[in-house]
Amino acid sequence: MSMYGAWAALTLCAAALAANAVTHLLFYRSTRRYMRAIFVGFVAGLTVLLVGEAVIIIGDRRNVLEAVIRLVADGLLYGCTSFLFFNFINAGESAIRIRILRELRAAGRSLPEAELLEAYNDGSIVEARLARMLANGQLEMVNGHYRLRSQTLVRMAYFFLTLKWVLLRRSSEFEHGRLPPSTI
Amino acid sequence: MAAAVLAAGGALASFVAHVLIWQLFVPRHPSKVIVAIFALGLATIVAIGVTLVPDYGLGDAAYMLALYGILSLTYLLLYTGVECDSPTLSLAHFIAQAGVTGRTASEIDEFVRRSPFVKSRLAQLEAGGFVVRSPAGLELAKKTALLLDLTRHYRRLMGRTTPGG
Repeated sequence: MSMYGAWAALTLCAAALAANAVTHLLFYRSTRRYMRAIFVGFVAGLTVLLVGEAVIIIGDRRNVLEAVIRLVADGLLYGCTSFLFFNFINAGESAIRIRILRELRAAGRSLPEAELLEAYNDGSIVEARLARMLANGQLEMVNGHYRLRSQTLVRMAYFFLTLKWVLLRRSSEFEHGRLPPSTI
Repeated sequence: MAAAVLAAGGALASFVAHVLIWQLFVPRHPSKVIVAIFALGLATIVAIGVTLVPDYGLGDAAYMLALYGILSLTYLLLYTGVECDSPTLSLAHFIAQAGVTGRTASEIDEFVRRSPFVKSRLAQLEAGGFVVRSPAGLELAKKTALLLDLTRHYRRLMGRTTPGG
């Protein structure tokens, strides 16, 4: 990759991510559709990336192999930054750790653990998740039974179960396994 | 081109090294060890780029750093999903296991009793130094302010008012 090519690629990926974020904000503020806004933002950024790639590749006249590698690498860069951005948005929305920190900040004083668990506990987490899944159509309630409708969620669950099993030889953090409690 | 291949190849090699080490033993502080493995991988590909790749310039180094760094961060984030159970995915799996019959609210309550998500995350926040426990109770550590402010500002831009979590 020429020096010009590398800087151009980085600038393009940054522009694509900016387009993603701006579109996400504008779309969400006008429609209030949480998941749709994330998808629309991603597609807007991807469009910017692909148009820019086409312009750079045509202008640079590089060989086909180099162009393909560049497309894949820039696609990876944009895809991963979008994934990190999605997780940043989601951290404010559904991360348990962020919610705990928010509860402690809102208290403005030392908060006994019992008081924290009274305000925010496993029951309230599950209640919120079930409501969100029902609202998104990922879950349905039939004759007093919750039934799963989303195959995507099942696939994601199996993906992480497989990774857990390959790396840690266990299927849940609440199972006694090889790993002691830890943190970053 | 060399920068992209080096970054992707280096990230893949670091991932393979991490999986191999984890087959032998799981370190006491896994995330710190993953960061160390990926940092070593970065040092290696920078050395290869500087010494072996012809016409390796500042632009190539910046591109390689960006691609390698983003791939490493993405994996580190995925790994938190390996270490900790996601309540949504755990619920989805638990309900899916019942097939077309589904699960009743009381079955889900029983499942929740076996999965203390809040206590687990609280312990991790304490171990990471984000929360400090004093005789009077739990307090925020100073370093958590930036993290909270970033998510709060973006939610404000979005106009979100739900408590989250």
